[in-house]
Amino acid sequence: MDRRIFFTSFSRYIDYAPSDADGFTDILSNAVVLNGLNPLDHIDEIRQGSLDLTYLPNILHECTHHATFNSPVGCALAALWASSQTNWIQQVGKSHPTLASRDLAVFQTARTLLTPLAEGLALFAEHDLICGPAPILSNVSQHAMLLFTKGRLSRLLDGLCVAPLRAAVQPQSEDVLSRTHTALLEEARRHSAWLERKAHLLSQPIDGPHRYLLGYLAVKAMYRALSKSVGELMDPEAFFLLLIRHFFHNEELAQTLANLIPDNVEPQEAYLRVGVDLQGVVERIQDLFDALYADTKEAIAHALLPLLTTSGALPLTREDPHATEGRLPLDLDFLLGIRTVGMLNVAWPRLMKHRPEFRFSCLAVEVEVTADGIAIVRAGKESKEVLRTPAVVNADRGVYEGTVEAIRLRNIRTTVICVLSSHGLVAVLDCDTGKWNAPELSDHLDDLPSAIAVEGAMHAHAEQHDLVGHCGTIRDMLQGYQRQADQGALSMYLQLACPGWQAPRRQTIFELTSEKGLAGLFGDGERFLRVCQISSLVGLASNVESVAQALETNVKDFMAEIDGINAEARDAGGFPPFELHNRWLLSMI
Amino acid sequence: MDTRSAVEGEHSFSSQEQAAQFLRQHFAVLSAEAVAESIAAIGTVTELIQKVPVLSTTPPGSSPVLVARYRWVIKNEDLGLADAFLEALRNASSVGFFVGVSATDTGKWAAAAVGTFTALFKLCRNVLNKGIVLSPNAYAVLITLKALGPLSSEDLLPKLQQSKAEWTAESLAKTLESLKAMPMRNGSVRALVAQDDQRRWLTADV
Repeated sequence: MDRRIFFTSFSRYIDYAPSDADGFTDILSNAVVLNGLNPLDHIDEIRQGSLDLTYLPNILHECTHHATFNSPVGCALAALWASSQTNWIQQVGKSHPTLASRDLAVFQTARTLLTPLAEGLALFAEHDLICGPAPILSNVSQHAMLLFTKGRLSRLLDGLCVAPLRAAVQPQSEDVLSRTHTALLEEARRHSAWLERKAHLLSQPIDGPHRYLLGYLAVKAMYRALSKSVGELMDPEAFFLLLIRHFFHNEELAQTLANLIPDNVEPQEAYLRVGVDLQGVVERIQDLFDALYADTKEAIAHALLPLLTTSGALPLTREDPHATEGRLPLDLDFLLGIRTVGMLNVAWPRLMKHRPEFRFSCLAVEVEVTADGIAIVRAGKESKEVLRTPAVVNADRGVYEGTVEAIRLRNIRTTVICVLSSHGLVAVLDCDTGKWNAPELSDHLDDLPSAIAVEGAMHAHAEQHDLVGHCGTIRDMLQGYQRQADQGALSMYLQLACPGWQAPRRQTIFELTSEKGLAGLFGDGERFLRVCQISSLVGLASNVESVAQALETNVKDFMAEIDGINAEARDAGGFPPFELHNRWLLSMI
Repeated sequence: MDTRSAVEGEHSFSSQEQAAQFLRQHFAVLSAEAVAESIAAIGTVTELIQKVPVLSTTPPGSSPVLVARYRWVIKNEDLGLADAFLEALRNASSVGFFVGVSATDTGKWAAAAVGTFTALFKLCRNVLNKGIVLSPNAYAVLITLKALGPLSSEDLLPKLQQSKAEWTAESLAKTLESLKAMPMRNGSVRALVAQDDQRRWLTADV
């Protein structure tokens, strides 16, 4: 793939190799880049809400990251990431920490400690999340419903009449959208492609990159423990939202992340202050876990009650200047602003402003805007013209790289397809009305940067991080704290995934799963695939009879098979993946 | 799409279908279309097409999706081996080795040829992977024995001479001895042919 250029000032630029990943979320802009879905080919499906189900798992996963980091803690992490770009000059020539290196150390530690939880939640959304009886709905489910369920409603309703839902937790009978959305998810998760994804997850090394498996097992164990303690948390939506809001909407944690160190301190004191800040972050995160388990009901009240009075939607324009929804507290806003003010550079795109918008597809294109304001979009190796439409008034004239992206806006209700340049909007289609360049949308999205600009900024920031850590003592400090955070995260999440286990037993499961994940317990052949298939069908908890029927076996033989699987796991030193309670089968994996 | 990968000596594809299409086009030059079609279809069974996991690159600071990615690879040395096999099979078919199948009956011939190919290719490729080179004569003996064995040396020689007149009793004996005890790179010895209690030759462990 050709390398790309990103300008970091009028005259300086970096070049980098673009990613070939299926999708990712950027910590700074909270932009989701999902490749492989050309929005222009799917306009009707997007409008109708019947998008191809092939895209469902990736959208669920990345939408969860988007929802998780669209929060005070997410904003704080973004500001810390940006700090090394905006404040690096303070670090030049100094062998003791300044704000830039302090922020990088805190970012690395917090990110290491929170990544397994964030990935566990995203994988929970992919493989387990369904609607329950609680009158709350995550943004993740709202987006997914409007993209995938809305257009399939009548077919799903027919299915509901024929086959009752299997899950232990069911939405209220009158809630049509929730029941049909759950039915869609259950149906999709039975497909072989989804089973392959589950098998791929469960065969990840327990301590692999991003700690996917460790995070997932921890979240599943937390679901089991917390729903035992408070029965209402059997509702997956309630549990899911509780975790997101309890950890990532915690303003005290965000404040701790964004703490400042003064400029004019002695070098030794500067190191001390970084250490104190890091200790504060670690303790704050540990306190959040402790509080969640010690007083779950209080945590629920604090995290979920506010949702009963809001919908999670944000206005596109600041209609009510006194409205506080989505705004950070003033002091936190100030602390984060110190880190990001340096990004107000004309060469840089506006990266922080559009964090609440959820992008769910991306096509890299060539954009030409003519002198008379017509946007011509070309794509593919042959630069074939794929779109021709009037451009917005502020669109840059000329020929340049851009993207076509489908976006669900912060008001939850509007879906658009945008043609974007590095610095902002070229053209916008409202998928509902079919109209191009409506004034309100054009104003709101005027400075929305393309995914190409987002990725360029990610690489530019990473280069600056290297510069911040250029001095030997600073580099040693960063590496030392990173090692400690790695060990701390591994220990913490192993305890969460294996509650009540002593250290030697946890070490055994760690060694068993260190290369091939749970395939280390069952082998990586037919037996392991069977275990994955059963866990995929069960989800969180399902009726034994219905699972046996889906597997085309009888209940007696199926229960014997489950006993055999559990015994095999126990004998290998692991934990039984399935539990039976009153004809409900629960999956720990 | 054939990426003519950065790894020398192999062809890389982003899907199994593309790899199979490449095989179809490659073998169609050497053999009947039905054979090419059949061999392409069993590409993964014979491991002529190998599925290799791929790690994707993600930007720094990103939270990527967890998706397994693969490429499908055909190695040039495997193609060479397959070509040698097909050449031997073509010679075999021209003298009616496949009982009940005429050379013009490409459908049945294809099924019989593919059966032999499947049985022998993976075995011989594993032998090659251990650093041993099999000669065309060795392939011809293996294929003939697989199709018509067990055969005595006296019965085997005229069959081979029908496709290649240069065969002698001496060259046949030498080839059989080498196939009886094929040294592997790891120091072990593998028998690709063996004799039954009537001293007739047959393929071993195939």
